[in-house]
Amino acid sequence: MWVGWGLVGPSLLLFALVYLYPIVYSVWVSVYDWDLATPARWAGLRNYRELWSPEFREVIGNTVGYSVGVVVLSQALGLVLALALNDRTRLSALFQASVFSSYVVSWVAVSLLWVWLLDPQYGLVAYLLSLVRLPAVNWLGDHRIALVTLVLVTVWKTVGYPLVIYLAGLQAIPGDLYEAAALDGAGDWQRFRHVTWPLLTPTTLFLLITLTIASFQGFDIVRIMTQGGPVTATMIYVYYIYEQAFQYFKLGKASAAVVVFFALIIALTLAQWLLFRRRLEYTA
Amino acid sequence: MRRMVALVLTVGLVWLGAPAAAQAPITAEFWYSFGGKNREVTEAHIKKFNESQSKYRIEGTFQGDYFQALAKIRAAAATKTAPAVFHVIGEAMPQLWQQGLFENLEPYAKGPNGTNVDDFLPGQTQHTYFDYLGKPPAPLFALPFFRSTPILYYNAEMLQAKGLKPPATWDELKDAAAKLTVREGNEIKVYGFEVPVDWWFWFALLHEAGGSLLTPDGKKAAFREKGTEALQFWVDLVNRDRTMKRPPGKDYSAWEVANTDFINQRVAMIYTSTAFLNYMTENAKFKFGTAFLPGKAKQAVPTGGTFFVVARDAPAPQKEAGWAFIKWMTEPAQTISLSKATGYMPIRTSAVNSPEMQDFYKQNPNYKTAIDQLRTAQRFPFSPGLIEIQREVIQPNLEAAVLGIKTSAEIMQAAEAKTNDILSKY
Amino acid sequence: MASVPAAPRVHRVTRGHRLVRGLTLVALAVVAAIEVGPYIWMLSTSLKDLPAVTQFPPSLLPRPPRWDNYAKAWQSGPFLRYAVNNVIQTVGILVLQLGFGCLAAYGFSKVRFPGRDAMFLVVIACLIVPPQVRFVPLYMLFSKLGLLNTYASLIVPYAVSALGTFLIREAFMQISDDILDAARVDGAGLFTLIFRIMVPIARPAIVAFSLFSVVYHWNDFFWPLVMTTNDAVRTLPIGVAMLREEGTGARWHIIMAGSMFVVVPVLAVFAVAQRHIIRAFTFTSLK
Repeated sequence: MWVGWGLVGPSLLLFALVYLYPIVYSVWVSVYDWDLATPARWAGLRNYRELWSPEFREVIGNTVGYSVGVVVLSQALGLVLALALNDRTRLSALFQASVFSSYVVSWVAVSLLWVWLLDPQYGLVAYLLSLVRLPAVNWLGDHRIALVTLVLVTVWKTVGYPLVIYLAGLQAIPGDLYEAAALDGAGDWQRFRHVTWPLLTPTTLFLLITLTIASFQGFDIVRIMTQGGPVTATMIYVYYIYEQAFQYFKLGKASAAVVVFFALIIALTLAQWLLFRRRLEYTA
Repeated sequence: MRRMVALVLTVGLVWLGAPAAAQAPITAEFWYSFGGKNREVTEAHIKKFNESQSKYRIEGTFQGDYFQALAKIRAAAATKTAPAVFHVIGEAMPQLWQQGLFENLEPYAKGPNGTNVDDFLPGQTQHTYFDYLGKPPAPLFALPFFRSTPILYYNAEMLQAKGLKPPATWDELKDAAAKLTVREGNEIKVYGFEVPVDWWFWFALLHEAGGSLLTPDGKKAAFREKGTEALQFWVDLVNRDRTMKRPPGKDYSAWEVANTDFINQRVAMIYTSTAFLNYMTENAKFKFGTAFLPGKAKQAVPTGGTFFVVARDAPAPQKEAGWAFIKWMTEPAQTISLSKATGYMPIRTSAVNSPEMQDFYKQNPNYKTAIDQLRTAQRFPFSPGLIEIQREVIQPNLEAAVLGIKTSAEIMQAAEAKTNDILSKY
Repeated sequence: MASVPAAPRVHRVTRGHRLVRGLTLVALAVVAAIEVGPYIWMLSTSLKDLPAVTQFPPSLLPRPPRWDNYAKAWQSGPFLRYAVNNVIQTVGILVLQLGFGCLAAYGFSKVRFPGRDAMFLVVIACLIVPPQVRFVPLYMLFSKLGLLNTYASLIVPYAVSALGTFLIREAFMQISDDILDAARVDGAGLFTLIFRIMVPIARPAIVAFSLFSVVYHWNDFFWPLVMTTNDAVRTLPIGVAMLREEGTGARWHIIMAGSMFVVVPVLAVFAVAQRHIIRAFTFTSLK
């Protein structure tokens, strides 16, 4: 038993210090009004009441929409690309490298670039659209599609990761299974559905969790490209917290948002885990 | 005999000790929040200051953008590790002063290493930046650093081609923008006018329309009617006339777009800060001019940029070093070199009148516009609620009108209510 | 046994297949162009001079290429120190994350002790605390301890990874206890068991996580910025941010040159490690 605690103890201590302490701190600050400079004043549950506004509901909606969009699209696209690139040719390796290159580049560099590329008046994208006689789109300035734009840019940047992971997952599937299925008369689609997809379940779950967590923490892209705008169309959760804390110096309200965020995601992650756990046992 | 020895020893010790104490320079930190060219210019001046004397040594560090820097300063103040010197935007100063972050600089200004406060350009100083709302003025706690006003930049070649002169009134602007907009079918190739939909410019328009932000006692909002008029001017230009481009992005991202559009000749006229004059001059491959902002009831502009402040909670020797640095930075010689390198305005009358600058202005008349425009500079109310009104009430909500989500009347009405809420706290 | 290439050998090549193949190739080319295009654009911009940057329609190949942009970016700040700090920070974080992660993962998966599952839930809870939330309390804490502007302030807050612990635990759970028993019978001690036996088997998960961690921390701008107030331990992303002037789009070419300093090392590491990464995944456990 001491072995157990000895192994997890050091980690737990660090977790407590660098993750839980800030959460506890946030819970504590959430019942005060504090701006970092003057002494805090008691606020009770007022921050939570103030939090529950149409703007906040929009933030939650935006965050969920963004996350779902990014996770589903990048995973699906990553899988499709992995299937297409699953041969050991040089060309494939080149394609893989090109797709992965945008994953490793920093957000700051690419976000600035995309702002420029997406300019509806003379960005490269507008230029290309005009070549095929399509009208220019106000990608970042139209509040109806700004969030979709961010999803697309995020997918563009991160699809390299599911690609690499899926490729690896695919190449771990023994070839004899395919041969056996082919001998049984299975076509491409059936091979995928009955051999590939089930055996990729652990990979899919891994990516689902990793990408969901990462997308919920999306921040840099908003900070650089839209700053939550137009108006609040791209205000996602972490940026909202950042804005309340760093721009309005409402640490109490920001902390309340943190506590709510925390509660929401625990619920979400548990749900995802429980949902897929049974599927996982199937492959063991 | 023993007393003689004691005296000699004491004098000797003091004499030996004194140079040792004077040798180690007092080090102090200066936190700043800009990068690029301004950073290089500032660092060059910091170096010059350090080399020009051996008593103090200033270390400048970049702290992120304006808001990140302010957050760190507050956190540092809470742990008593604030830097000796930093800079702040004018609108934030009343609240930060009230929260006790700033050192009172009057003793320093009047002291042995003092500075001639009368030589500062009217419109540049803390006392001419603020309207103290009928109350006694706050003591001196800030010296001007990089200061600016918004000006009209216009593509001289485009205007000349259409036989237009730079607009001086709102109506002329509207007219010129319509004539300068170039359309190709349903697409707009060149916009007539562009301005970031931003508090600073709205403030200008508010006053140009004859309005003001708060009542003279600073207790209530006074901007509803004229603020609506100001905002509606933009709304009409963007949505009805379709001659104005609203640059996407918030805060400085939008400013960046407007500047780039101007350089790329995608827009004929823009409002932006005089601070970008160097950038424009270096990069515009066409003749451009600068002019006062067009007025309506009158011509009016806010001033902008940042002020130097010294942290109250820094240790005394560091504050002394901080003062020495900002005093030096605001001396005529430095303000001339800072201004010429960036496009920000010189802050001293003696600097503006110096032969060097007069010569410079003759050769670069665009640089003179902001200085001349100072006579129409408007003051900001010295209210701790000012920064909240800017950041929470006005700035985030202007967009919605231009995007057609709400009407300007609705927005200003809501803004008025929220402003009164904020003001009731003080 | 290593796996065989996954593309099945037994299939009939029909014209339908050729069409699909052709379309696939075109689609892939488009995707590759979209993916790498902007990146090439970065490179191209970094070699231009200012007039060329703002010109439209833009040209791809600057003539002559301005390599001095790189010198200018490099000289604008202590980039060498930033680069060294960046390596120390990223490697330090990874090593600690894997070290603590493997130990804890073993404890959570293969050792029974009271409170285990509750404690694991605590770890899961930490998965979603973003750095913007952790900044203020940790800044105050490190400031009081006099640890601001030290490597500790950059590394310790990330020394344990909830994601890493979770993923490695999942991988460990897949390993049958028989293997462990056999190893114990052979006299393997705890550390040997974890690091010599289990880690190699869990290599896919560990490599996948390491990839994520390295890319994230190498490019991290926010944490090194807010936890440092001077250049002592600052990293490359901050150096690049300092090249930006807010409000102007002025020196894109220098900003892009600076960005390349951040990008090229990671790409180089990936290029070298790519084969190893793929190979790590094809190792299957022995039964």
